[in-house]
Amino acid sequence: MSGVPTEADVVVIGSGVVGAACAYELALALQRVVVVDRGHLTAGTTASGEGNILVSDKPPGPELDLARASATRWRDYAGELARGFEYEPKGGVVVAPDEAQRAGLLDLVAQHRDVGLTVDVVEGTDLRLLEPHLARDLDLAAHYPDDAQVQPVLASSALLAEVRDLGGDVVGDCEVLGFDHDADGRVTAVRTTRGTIACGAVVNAAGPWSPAVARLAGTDLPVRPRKGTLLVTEPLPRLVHHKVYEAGYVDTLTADTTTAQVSAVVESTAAGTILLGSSRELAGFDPTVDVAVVRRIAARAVRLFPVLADAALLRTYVGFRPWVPDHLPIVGEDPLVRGLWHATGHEGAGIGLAPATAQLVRAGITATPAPCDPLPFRVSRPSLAAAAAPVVPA
Amino acid sequence: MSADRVPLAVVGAGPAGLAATAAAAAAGVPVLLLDPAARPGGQYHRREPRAFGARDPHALSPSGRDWHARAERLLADPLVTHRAGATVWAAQHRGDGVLLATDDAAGEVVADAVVLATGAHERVLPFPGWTLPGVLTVGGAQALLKGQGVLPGRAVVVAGAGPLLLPVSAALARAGAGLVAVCDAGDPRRWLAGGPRGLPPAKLAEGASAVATLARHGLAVRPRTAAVRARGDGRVEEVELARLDARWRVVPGSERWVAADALATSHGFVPDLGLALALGCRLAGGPTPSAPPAVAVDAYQATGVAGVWAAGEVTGIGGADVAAHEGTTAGLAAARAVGGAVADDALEAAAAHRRADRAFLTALGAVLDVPDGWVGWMAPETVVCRCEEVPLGRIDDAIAHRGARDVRSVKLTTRCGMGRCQGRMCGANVAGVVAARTGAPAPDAAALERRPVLAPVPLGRLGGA
Ligand SMILES: Cc1cc2nc3c(=O)[nH]c(=O)nc-3n(C[C@H](O)[C@H](O)[C@H](O)COP(=O)(O)OP(=O)(O)OC[C@H]3O[C@@H](n4cnc5c(N)ncnc54)[C@H](O)[C@@H]3O)c2cc1C
Ligand SMILES: Cc1cc2nc3c(=O)[nH]c(=O)nc-3n(C[C@H](O)[C@H](O)[C@H](O)COP(=O)(O)OP(=O)(O)OC[C@H]3O[C@@H](n4cnc5c(N)ncnc54)[C@H](O)[C@@H]3O)c2cc1C
Repeated sequence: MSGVPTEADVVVIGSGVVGAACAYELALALQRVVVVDRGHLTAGTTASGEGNILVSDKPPGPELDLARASATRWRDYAGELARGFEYEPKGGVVVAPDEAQRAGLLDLVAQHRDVGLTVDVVEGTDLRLLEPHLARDLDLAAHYPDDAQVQPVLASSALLAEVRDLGGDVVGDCEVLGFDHDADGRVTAVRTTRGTIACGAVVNAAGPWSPAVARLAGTDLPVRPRKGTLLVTEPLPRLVHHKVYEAGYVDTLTADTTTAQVSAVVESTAAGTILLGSSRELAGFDPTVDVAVVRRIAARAVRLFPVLADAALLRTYVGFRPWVPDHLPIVGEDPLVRGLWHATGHEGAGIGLAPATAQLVRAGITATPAPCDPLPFRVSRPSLAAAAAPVVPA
Repeated sequence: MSADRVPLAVVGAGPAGLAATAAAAAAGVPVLLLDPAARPGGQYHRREPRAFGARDPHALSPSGRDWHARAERLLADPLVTHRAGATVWAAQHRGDGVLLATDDAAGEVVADAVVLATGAHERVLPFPGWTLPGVLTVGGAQALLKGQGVLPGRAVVVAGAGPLLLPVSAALARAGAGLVAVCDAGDPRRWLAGGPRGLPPAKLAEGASAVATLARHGLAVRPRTAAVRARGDGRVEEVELARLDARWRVVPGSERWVAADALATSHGFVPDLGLALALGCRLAGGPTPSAPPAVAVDAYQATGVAGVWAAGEVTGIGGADVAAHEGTTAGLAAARAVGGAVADDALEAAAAHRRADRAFLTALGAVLDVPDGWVGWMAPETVVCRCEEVPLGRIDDAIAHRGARDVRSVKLTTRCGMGRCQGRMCGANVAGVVAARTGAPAPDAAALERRPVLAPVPLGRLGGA
């Protein structure tokens, strides 16, 4: 088995979109980076995400700030990276299939306007022009031109290729087994199945598995897997032009249940397939695709786009979003284990939030300016301490 | 959606599934038989549609009248419900049994026990020109002939590997297709010279009679020879034949173009594992490292997963007779598990067949070996995954420049196996390319067989609330 470099400035654990972005931003800041992943590259949660880069689904607050900084950075990446990743600044359309969702939508739109987000309320013919195949009875929507989409695996592999071009290393099939610490408890090296890497800092970007990595360093994180199921149709002519979802989706983001919640999220991909989401369920790492959940997602999607009734379902997949009880990513140095930086807990928005997360990590490690206020995301925030003993299955 | 309950469901109405159905019904157990085709038979007993109205519908079918009469009688048994036109698109364990979701109006069923008899599909190795019109599978040529009485062309090359080659070539010759050449990438002399021990005399006789038929039409099978390129304007007009070495690499200088208007080609079979994998069945490797994996079963066809038995080619390639033997055993064992009247000696007698079949399967496995030299037949632009039109060059690029090292990452970066067939057709070949390029000891042929949606199903049919 080939080994790993014996030294690095920073070791990034995890080759998902978050690890890939962290490695890239650090490499740009002239850090010598080694990315290790215990499995195949970018085959974790990132391989089961949809790739939406959304500002529309986040109420004003720190997560929206992070999302806006990220959306800008994704646009840079589209021009800056040598390899393409199907970046599509297509915009989002949020529909309201019932009265309650309508009220919630208009309220969120008002809040978004207050913080300067671009959003139009569209009705009637204008809505038909945006989405000709939307169900006839859906007559009001909010259009967010700044929502975009990427192909997450291509985006991550494009970032990792850049890291290699900048002199970094990316090593798959290399599991982190533990850490070496100095007398003050600071991390000095990462021990892996392919050897030990002495380093100045470590980034824990192990997604839903980040608590296990934290425990190897003698600390812990309240991150839990939140199962999601996606449906993929056969390739079709463009029937859906934006990322279209129902306003109720925003509520499912924060309703933490152990039974599956389903709301419709529909979008076309560059390959012509249509992705239909999604479900949210705190049920541990159970990879079973539940037929009943598949049926519910299909029914919600057909409710928004009746034309999809004839579209063939080709595949489904399941992924585990890294969920956090207070629904904010965890980004920052561990207060107990110096040198260990966490970049995790992005739940259903890690693809969208990866670039600014990476900039926060880069800012912390290299003492350079941050893209937004890092404090709300710190590991020691009070809202996390309250949730120290999660009741949901690990 | 509320699901019907049945004691036993059999998935697949080929020789294995029908034998399982018959055995279980004879033990007094009600059986639900699910299969996409309108009429039973599976691959081997393929039948023309009733509407075809041929005067003697059995005249073209070597499986004959007797078999079809028995199938009709079986389906008339009040204990047997044959749900034709039902493909199982998903399966899942539930507390109270196995849920099978079907794409017909009925939607789903929960069974106490299931026999998986989903068979195998032909494997076609890719080479430049293999997607041209006029190139079809050996089984496809046979189906045209048996099903519609149509010849694939007037100047036909049959080239590939495996036990189908000889009988189908002989059938084509008898039916008057102007066969240009019959080429076996393997060495069929190993079949016929009685080399592999355990080939039953009947099989050897079948092979010998096919060879004799071909000889009467002035043809000899060319061993260690393959069709490695095809070309033509809009459809196949010429086929390049080449000699192969033991690893199936082209022997330089041996290439010859021949004129042909059809090329029938396939290289053995790949078990259809999707349903078995969805239910968590374990796989076993084939008799050789390059052989495709199959569902692992015990002497009574049990998979080790509660309530799930498997029989026929899904457990390994062995032909129709072996499939039927295994089906009987599985049907009896599953019937007994749900309270059917099955005597010990009946079950033991059925299982004894399998032990006898073992030697044959091992011998067959050696003949069906597909070494990796075929990867070199392709050019960078040769399409490997037809549904998504992914050429070899893009797979190579993913391996060289995107860090892809395994079948799954190749799939995610190139879209190989993401199309309509979900890797059923290209899975073994993608795995072969990845193994050849990365130096892996054996292809990860099951990687693309894992697919929660076993067959495309319209969203409107899913009809959940
Ligand atoms: C159905 C679904 C839809 C989604 N849709 C979207 C969307 O539209 N937009 C969006 O922004 N987000 C979406 N998400 C969320 C998004 O996919 C995740 O937030 C994001 O992929 C998390 O990335 P990550 O890099 O943190 O984790 P991962 O991609 O899971 O990467 C973690 C990596 O760490 C590795 N690892 C773990 N332990 C070790 C160890 N001990 N040693 C070495 N390596 C280790 C793993 O192998 C893995 O590759 C969706 C998620 C799901 C499930
Ligand atoms: C052209 C041709 C000629 C052959 N000639 C001979 C010969 O001369 N002698 C010989 O011994 N063998 C021959 N064989 C091989 C023989 O056909 C197989 O050995 C035999 O059919 C295997 O039986 P089986 O029941 O395991 O599978 P199959 O006959 O393949 O039946 C499997 C059935 O399961 C169904 N199925 C699969 N998935 C699903 C699902 N998800 N839901 C519902 N149904 C499903 C399929 O549609 C199919 O009907 C030939 C094969 C072919 C293709």
